[in-house]
Amino acid sequence: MPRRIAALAAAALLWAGVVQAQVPVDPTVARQAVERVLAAWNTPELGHWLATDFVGRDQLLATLNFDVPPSARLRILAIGGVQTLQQERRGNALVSLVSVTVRAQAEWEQPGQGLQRREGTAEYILRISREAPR
Amino acid sequence: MKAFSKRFIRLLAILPLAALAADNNPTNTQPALPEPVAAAVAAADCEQLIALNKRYHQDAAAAGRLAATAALEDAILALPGCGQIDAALVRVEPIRGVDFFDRERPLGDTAQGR
Repeated sequence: MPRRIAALAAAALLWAGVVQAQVPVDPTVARQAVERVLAAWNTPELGHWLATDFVGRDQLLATLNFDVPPSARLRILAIGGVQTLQQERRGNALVSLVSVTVRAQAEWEQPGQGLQRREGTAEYILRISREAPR
Repeated sequence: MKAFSKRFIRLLAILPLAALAADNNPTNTQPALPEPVAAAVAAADCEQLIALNKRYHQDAAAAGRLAATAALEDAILALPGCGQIDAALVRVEPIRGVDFFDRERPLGDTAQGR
C-alpha cells in the first residue's frame, strides 16, 4: 500500500509540474566515461576519476601503486547496459548516478611467466554531472 | 485505517485535476521569453542555447534576463549530452570474476608485487 501511495504521489507531482521528469544520461557519454576510468586504472590519473566519496579510495590507489605490476592495464571486452539510477538538479547542473555493466580483462607481463590475464565483470556506478555553462 | 488510505489515495489522484481546474500550471504563468531565447529553446540547438545562456549571464542589464537564463538552462539540461560534462566513479558492484577496484586485491588471488 505505501508503494501505491508513493507512486500516485509521484505521478501527481509530476503531472502538476512540481517535479521534473528524469532526463536519461546519454549512453554514449556514460560509456565514454567508464572507458576513461578503466583506461586510467593503475596509472597516476586514476585519482582524478575516483570520486572523493569512493569507499577505500586512498587504500585502492596505494595498493595499485605498490602491489600491482606497473605494466598491468585493463582492456574492455564488453560494455553492457547503461541505466540512470538517480538524478537531481543542483543549480545549473544535472547530477545523475549511472550504472554501466562492463566485462574487462587485466593484462600484464609477469617475468618468467609471460602474459597474464584476469577477467572480471562489474557494475560501475558513475556520478555524471552535466552543467549549463554560464 | 483502510478507509483512510483509500480516501488519501483518491485525494492524491485528483490533485492533477485540481491543479488543472485552478489553471495552476506553471507554464501558463511564466513571462514571455525574448524572441531569440524562445527560438533557441524551440530549436533545441545545444550550441545556440549555451551561447545565449553565456550572453544573458554576462549582460546584467538585459531585459527578461532571469526568465531567459532559467529557460535556457532548463533547455540545455533537457538535451542529453548537452553542456559541460564531468564524471567520477562512485562505487563498483562486482558481478563475477576479479574486482579490479578491490582496495586489497585488485588482481584477485594472483600473486602480486612490483
